[in-house]
Amino acid sequence: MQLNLSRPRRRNLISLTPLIDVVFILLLFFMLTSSFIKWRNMELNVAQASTSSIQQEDKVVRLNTSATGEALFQDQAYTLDQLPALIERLQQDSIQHVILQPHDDNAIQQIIYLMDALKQHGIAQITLNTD
Amino acid sequence: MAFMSPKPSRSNSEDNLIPLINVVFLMLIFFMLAGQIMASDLFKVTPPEAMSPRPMETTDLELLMNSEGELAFQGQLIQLEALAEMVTHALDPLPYEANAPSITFSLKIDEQVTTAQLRPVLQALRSTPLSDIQLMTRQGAL
Repeated sequence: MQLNLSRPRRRNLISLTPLIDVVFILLLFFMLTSSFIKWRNMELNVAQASTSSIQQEDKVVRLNTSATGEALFQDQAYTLDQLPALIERLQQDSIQHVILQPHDDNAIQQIIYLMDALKQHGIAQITLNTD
Repeated sequence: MAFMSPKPSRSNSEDNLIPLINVVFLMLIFFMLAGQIMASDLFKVTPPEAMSPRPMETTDLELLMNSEGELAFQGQLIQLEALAEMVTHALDPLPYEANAPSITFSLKIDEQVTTAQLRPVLQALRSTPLSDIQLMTRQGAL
């Protein structure tokens, strides 16, 4: 006897189209709301050097910046690349605290580049002057 | 001679969708895991790049400043003149001591904000009992 066993048809439990709709909506939501910025915190020491006690400390140096973001020290401008030479000079005088007096036209990004470079080269304390 | 084109079955057309769904699912998982969902700010601010190794911690108070110098404190647009009073007021109900800062304050400012714009803000903040100010930055390479 020959049995005519047909292959059982695969049964779809759910239709795929609504599933795709929902997944697309979820995808759009996550694509539009996700932020990929890696946030970091940076401590900002703010002081008014004229009134603060920090002026009485010996090992403090005041660094001005030029309008283009270079560090100015004793009438000489130092770009970010030249900064290690300046820091070496400061460290020879065992200076660990820098008061930064930024130029009015400096963008905060330029100041932060400078603060980062100073920190990276071993200046322990950096204060932003608000005078 | 008549050719009868076979009518594609429904199950076949759905089978073709499976690779598409696979890709979409992978993208969905990527965005869910890699991205961070944050409440949107009052105005667009691109934080400055820094190499600070400290990952962001949530702060109690937040001041937002865009490149035009507009200020928003705790999601509310404010004027510079009102800043010191509002910060002091916000610190009031919280157990705050200047020597042991339990309240964290973060400054979220646009990378293009200039010192001239920032100085009055910092001066106003200095007149409050606040001692610890965190600047929010994004990870970058020098």
